[in-house]
Amino acid sequence: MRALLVLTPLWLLAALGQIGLGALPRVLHADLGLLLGLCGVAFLRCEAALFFLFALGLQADVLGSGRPGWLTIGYLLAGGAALSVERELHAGGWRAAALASIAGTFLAHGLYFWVSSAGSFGVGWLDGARMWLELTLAAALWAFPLAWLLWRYWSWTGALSPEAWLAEAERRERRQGRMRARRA
Amino acid sequence: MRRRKSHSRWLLAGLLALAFGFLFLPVDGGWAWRSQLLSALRPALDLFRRGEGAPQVAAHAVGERPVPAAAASAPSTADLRLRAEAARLFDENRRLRAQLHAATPAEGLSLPKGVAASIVAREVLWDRMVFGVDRGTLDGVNAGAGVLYQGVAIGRVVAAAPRASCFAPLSHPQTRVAVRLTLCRAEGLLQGGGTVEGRPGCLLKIVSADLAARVGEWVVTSGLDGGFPAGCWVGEVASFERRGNMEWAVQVRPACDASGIEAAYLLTEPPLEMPRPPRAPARRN
Repeated sequence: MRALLVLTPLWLLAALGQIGLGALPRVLHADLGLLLGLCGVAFLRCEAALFFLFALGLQADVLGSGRPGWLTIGYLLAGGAALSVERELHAGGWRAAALASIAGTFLAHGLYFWVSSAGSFGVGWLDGARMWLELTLAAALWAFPLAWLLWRYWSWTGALSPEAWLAEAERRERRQGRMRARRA
Repeated sequence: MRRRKSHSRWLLAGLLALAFGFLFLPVDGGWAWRSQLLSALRPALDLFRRGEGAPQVAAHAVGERPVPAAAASAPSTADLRLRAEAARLFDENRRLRAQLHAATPAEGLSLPKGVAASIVAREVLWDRMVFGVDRGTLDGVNAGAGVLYQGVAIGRVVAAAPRASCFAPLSHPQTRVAVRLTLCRAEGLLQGGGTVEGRPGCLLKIVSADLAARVGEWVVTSGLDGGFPAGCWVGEVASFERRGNMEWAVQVRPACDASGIEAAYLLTEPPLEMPRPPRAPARRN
């Protein structure tokens, strides 16, 4: 229930963000939905994160896909890849989540680019490659501030997974230990 | 922990199977969902766009150029002289038309019924050729209706929801418009696709033994598809070639590049009903 209350406004904000980014230069058109979803895989409980990712994928398909379905598949595959390195993601904190969301953008949109160019329902090979690179570059610009903000928001609302809490507590303890050692 | 991980894998596989199921939906279904989502988000989108001067943009789409505030408040002497000359010429034109019993421009060239709309969604992720606008079925817009910009046909509505709709420009591969060449009067079906001088263009297919078209000849709507009235400017002939015995392929350069516009004029008149032959009565044995 808490996850639903916390994630529904984010889903709406992601939709508005995706539409609003259309007014900015193309190099800033990041896939905000995928960035949110992959940060969710890093920070939230598995089931909530996967449902959130699926809902965001559907939204991306509805708003910006030439063939509904492929973006959702790309989102879920990127989410699956992120789940396979779940332990490292928890240990790395928000920086690791940001890096994972950049890599996920590269993977999910690479799949869409390949399928749409081969199936000729999207843009051509050259334009498609340019758009794929633009999306990855834009993800690199947006991912770090977004991951930090999401980390703060989900910590504040108590939506973080127990593993993420534990990893954060360990990191804090290590930091405090280092500071104590430096003072001594 | 291992049990939890396998549980999430099953969930992922199930969601993936569901996503594969969406591949079997028609593309039009995606556009219908898009216009429904835009319609639902319309209050929030309006909140963001408040104060952008939407009425001025809308007037521009219809064809009335907004007068700059400075020019309206303090016209120069040259302006006044030109306005007086324009008024004199207009009166002269009206007098001559009355003598010839010709229709006045207001009667002959008035725009068809429609609503001006602002573009609220463009260039979202990969589908950069379908635009979302802030007018829908509550404003009289229906799927299949024509879209104009300053009187030029630029596309067709592909899906309409109560408060928003989506339109595809003429260069979209799934847009089809019935058109006519102005000089040789040949009629055909215009479809998006291909490029003309490096920009998105359209292909006009004409079924005829001979075609006396010229490069640069204007292409206008023929009014036979129910989306547009006859006579709206579409573009001009860029090149043409024969394909087979009875088919001609004409490359058309669109008159207006829809990718840069901020507003459009959506036609709201109901599509024309094509007469159908009466159904034959069932034969009784």
